[in-house]
Amino acid sequence: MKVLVIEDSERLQRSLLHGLKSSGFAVDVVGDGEEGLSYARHGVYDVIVLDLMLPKLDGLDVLKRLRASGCGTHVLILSAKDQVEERVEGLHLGADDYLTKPFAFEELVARIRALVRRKFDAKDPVHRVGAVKVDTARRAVARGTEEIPLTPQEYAVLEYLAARRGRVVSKSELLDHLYAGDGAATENAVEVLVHQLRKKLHHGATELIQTRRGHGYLID
Amino acid sequence: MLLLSAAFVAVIAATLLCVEDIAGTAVTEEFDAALLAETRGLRSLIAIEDGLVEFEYPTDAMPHFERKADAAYFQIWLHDGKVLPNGRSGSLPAGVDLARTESLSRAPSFRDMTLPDGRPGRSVQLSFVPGPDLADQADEEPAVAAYPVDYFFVLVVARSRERLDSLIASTRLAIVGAGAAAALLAGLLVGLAVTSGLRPIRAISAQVRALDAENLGARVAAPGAPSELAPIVQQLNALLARLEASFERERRFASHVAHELRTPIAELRSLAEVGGRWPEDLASTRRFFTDVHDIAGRMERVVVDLLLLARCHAGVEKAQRRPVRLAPLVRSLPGADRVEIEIPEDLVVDSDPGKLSLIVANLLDNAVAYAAPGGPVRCVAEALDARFSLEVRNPAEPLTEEDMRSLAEPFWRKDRARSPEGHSGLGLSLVTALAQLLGLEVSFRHEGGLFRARLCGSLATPGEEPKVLQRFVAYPEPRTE
Repeated sequence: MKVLVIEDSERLQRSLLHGLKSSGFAVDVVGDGEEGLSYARHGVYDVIVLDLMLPKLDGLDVLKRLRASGCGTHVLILSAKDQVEERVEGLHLGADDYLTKPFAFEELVARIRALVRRKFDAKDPVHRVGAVKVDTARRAVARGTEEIPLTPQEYAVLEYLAARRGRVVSKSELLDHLYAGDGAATENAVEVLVHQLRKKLHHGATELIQTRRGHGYLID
Repeated sequence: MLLLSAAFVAVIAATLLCVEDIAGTAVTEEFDAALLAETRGLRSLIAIEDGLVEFEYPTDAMPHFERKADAAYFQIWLHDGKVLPNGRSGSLPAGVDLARTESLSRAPSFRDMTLPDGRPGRSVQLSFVPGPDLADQADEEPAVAAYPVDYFFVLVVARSRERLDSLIASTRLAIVGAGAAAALLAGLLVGLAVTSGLRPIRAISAQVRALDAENLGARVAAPGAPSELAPIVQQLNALLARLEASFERERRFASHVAHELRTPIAELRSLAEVGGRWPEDLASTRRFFTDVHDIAGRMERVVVDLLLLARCHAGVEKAQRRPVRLAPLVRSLPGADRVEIEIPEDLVVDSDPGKLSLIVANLLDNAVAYAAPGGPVRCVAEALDARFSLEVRNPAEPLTEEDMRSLAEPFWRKDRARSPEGHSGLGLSLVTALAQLLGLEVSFRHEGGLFRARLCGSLATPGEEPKVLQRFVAYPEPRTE
């Protein structure tokens, strides 16, 4: 899943980037409102983490323009403004969640995951695909009681496909949601990841991840 | 109020007692006059003819001297103490004499006594020499020698004073009754008057009692209060307004402090949590430690500034004045290299070099940080008679009047989000507080597209040589990578 962090404190940028990446998210970080708006409009994000007191363009203005342009990406406001009316205003302007600074990093991650679930209309943090369980809260995959060890990237592919269950996901869509916007990853890398994932999940005759040639991958 | 009423009642009571006494005396005098008139009537019946005393009185005309009940009495003595034959009223029981004194004073003497029948009475004793010629002069005091002693008589007339007493008693009763009623009424009226007069004060007192730090916005109202109270109410409300403003300032200050700490704490917490959970990335972890150190430095700077500000406001911070050469002082400040400095080398001011450095450093820091594009930041100083002025100018967007008023308020920043890192908004508050401590006039204005911060103070006395200035370090040096 891919997250955009719009936050002007460089130190917070660094820890958020490191922490969210380590939690399995693809993360883009920008430091001012204008840049944030441009990233949010043109990039593909599952969740946007938005600070309010931003240089150039205020966080609430970013949110207003984003919603006015029809962007429906889930937005979590992360702000030092802690008054009820400030939180209410943020939510009224179209934010999906509000977390005040200082915050527990665990809570931020949990709230981002909850927003991701909402995006895919899933209440249950566990996707069940046949005998395989993908626990998005624990980021663990198991067949029955047997854990299947996956790398973070392999897990990210599986989680995204499971979340989009029943729909064909193209390689470029996977690229958009799995990698930060530095453009280093290629479709070839996605193919390698899916190949390794299949080897680890292989069990019996049926393939969990199906290939629709020319279109992409599918978990049915 | 109770005391006031009691005092009022006491005054009324004392007055009434006097009135009662005067009334009693007047009634008694009336009684005495009647008694004396009767006595003189009796005396006029005594005549001396050819050396013989004649006394006859008409019992019919004076029956009260004869009867036994409700009687009056008289008795006449001769000069030698013998009772004049038939000189006793018929009412006097045999063998009972009226009391008399040995005094031969011709002035009538009255006394209270008990009548032979046991009733309280009053008598008058008259010593006299009979004769019509002398009767009218009885009250006067003719020389005793002019009359033969043989002709001296003593006449005592006694009469019941029951009626007099009952008259006095009823007078007293009337006066005491009326007095008590008057006193009671007066007390009541005074009470009422005082109560109604105090009602507005009570109302004000109740309103003041209800005030505390939470509702200082309330104002005291006293509708219908006498105009004498208006200044008190006005002053109370003015005091409330001052208190409210001061509390509001304190609240804003506390909330600003808390808010100011929010961001660094959020950064610290996030760094600690992420760094602690994924420590294997050594490069990131090292970077996090540097961040933590910088955050600590920034928080320390805020705390140092706050403490200094508090010390200035508490009057604890003291200035140590001496002659200071201004130009090298300004050149030594951090950030001076980004400022055009125009200060005469021979400008020597009378000030505390450490605090003056802090003031100018903050002004320069501020000017550099908030300078709009369009020209250099300049620091210009000049001498004017025994004074000097120093002005720091930076190109700036116009500020509103509200902005100009808030400039020196702790933690005020026009746009928090656009403030450079490390600018907590305490700089100009410190400048103002320190300038006051050093006796410098400080003013801020926006003119000709420039923000101008101006200091004015005294030059040093000529002849005093400034010491060499050490390089000024306002804050701990930030660690750099």
